Amino acid sequence: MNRTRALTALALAGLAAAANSGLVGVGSAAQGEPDPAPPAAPAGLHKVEKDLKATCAFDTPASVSLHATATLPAMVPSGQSTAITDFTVNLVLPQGVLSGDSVEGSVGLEITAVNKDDKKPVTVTLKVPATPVPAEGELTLTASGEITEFTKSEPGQVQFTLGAPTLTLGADAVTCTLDADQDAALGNVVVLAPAEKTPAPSGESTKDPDGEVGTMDAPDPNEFTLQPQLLEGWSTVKKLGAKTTIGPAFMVNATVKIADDGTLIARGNVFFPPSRVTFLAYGFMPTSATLEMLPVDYQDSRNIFIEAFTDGITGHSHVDLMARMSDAKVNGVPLDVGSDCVTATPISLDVTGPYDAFVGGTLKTDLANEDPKYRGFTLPSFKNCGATEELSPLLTGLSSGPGNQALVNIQSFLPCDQEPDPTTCPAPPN
Amino acid sequence: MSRKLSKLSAGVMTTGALVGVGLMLASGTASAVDVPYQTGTVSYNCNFPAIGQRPLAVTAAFNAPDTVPAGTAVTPAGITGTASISSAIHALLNAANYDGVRGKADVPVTITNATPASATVTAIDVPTQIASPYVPGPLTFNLAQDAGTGVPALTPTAAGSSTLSLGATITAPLEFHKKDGTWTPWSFTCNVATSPVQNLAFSPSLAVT
Repeated sequence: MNRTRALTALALAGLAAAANSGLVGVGSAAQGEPDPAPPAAPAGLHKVEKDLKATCAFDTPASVSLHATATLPAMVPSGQSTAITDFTVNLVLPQGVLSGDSVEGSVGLEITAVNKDDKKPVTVTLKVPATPVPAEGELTLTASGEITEFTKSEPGQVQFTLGAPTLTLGADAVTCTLDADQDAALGNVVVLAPAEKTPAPSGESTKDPDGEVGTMDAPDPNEFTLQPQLLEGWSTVKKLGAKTTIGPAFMVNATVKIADDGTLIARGNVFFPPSRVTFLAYGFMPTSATLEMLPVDYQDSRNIFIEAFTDGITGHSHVDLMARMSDAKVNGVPLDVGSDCVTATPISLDVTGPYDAFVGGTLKTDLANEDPKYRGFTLPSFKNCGATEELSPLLTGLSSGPGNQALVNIQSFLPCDQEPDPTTCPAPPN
Repeated sequence: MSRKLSKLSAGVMTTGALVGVGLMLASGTASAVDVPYQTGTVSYNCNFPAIGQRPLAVTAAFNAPDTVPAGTAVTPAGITGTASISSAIHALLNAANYDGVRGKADVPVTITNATPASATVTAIDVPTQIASPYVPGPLTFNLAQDAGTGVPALTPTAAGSSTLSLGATITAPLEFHKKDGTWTPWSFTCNVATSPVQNLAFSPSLAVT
């Protein structure tokens, strides 16, 4: 392996390590680092946008730029339609692909709602008003519409992704394909669990002249649905001196339960969307990669099950997870690490700290903790790295080892449907 | 996180305040005597921290003259209320290390055959109440009018009767107490349960002569 390759591998190792720690619970972070910035500014409805490139089958195939903007609700109750409003797609076509003085018609676009393993594609038709075709230069078309077809999603985080457009601007439809290696995610919406039925106060049934008030079925009186929990933080990789911010991400389908010893257990599933990590390898070589935090059974699932135990003051959590790296670039040059470059064994992370299941808290590794398991985590070796050249041993040698730190902030995420003013609800992370 | 566990407390306080809105002051009728007016148990759903909408059982009461001449302003007095959480929520709060509440509540009321037709009793006191040691079972907090409570006067418009009722939404800036002595603020908003339909009225109605 030559020097460039070695540097590349080192950079990747740093990325992988950083990603691993971040996934674990939220980010990496050296002890004493300030807490992560708070979530995005409050907004019940939030604007999202996405830039994509596509190649369209005009008489001469041409590259088309898309800029999509839309408004999404932060949250919707389970079973209710998710309305995508103010949906506009600007398409920039190169000169000469369309003839005539003006064009009008429509743009068909497939939008897919991804909820856990369920994918619901919907093809929407956006209207393109009459638009003059310039004699010279690019042609910009604006297609717009409203979309309300997305319904009945299961509770959890729904991610909307864009598909390739089909342009109908004349007699014939022109199909397009999205260029490779693009993140087509437009935005996320949290689908809330149905309102939970709990016993009424006082006597567990209270009555008034109209009959019984408030008494409802409760499958387990000691377990409550927990509103979505927002997780964010960072992690460090000791060997590389690398640090990365991970998240934010949601813990959904969460519950809080009174344990036999009287303490609380908050548990739920966290889906960490892939994140792009960039750092300078050796302090000078720009290196980036897509990192995913995955469950141990990552080949079958994307959700990481997390449990946090708390007595109301101090909490602790243990999680096992895998880290996978892809789409690596070193100094701008793609390096094929393969499709399954993952840690050979799960990362075993133990974090502790002030944590209240109602309002949240901060769980982290702690070098000063009397229990060794909380003093940091070990980054395992890597496997399956390198499509054309075995990179796993190098990645392992450069980054794997003990003493890495992690920190995660957890806070309850208020649902919009239960707020007097939905605009006070924060937007979910994208 | 800015909103915290004060939800429970707030709900309780609110209910109490509403009840108090009644009409106590009677002026005018020499023969009038103050009597209690009270609601039954009304179920509200409140935004508890982290666990979302949960039921809160509310009662409210106030004192006012037994009769009031039309056109005579009266101001309810002795406003009190209770707010109760279920044993399950009580257990959950206890496990989360919470054991008390304090704050204020704003309770809207509606009045028939009177002006104004609606008003809000503001800043009903939810005095500091610490439920320690923990005793399993439902937990009831009390609310009561104090010197800072704003109680609107009402004026019956015609002979007959006026009926006061609790409003649909009670709000309360509360604080929840932790066993370590700290307080956590929570803006409590409670909406009356709609199924089954709740009887929000105080009883009896105010006789208007």
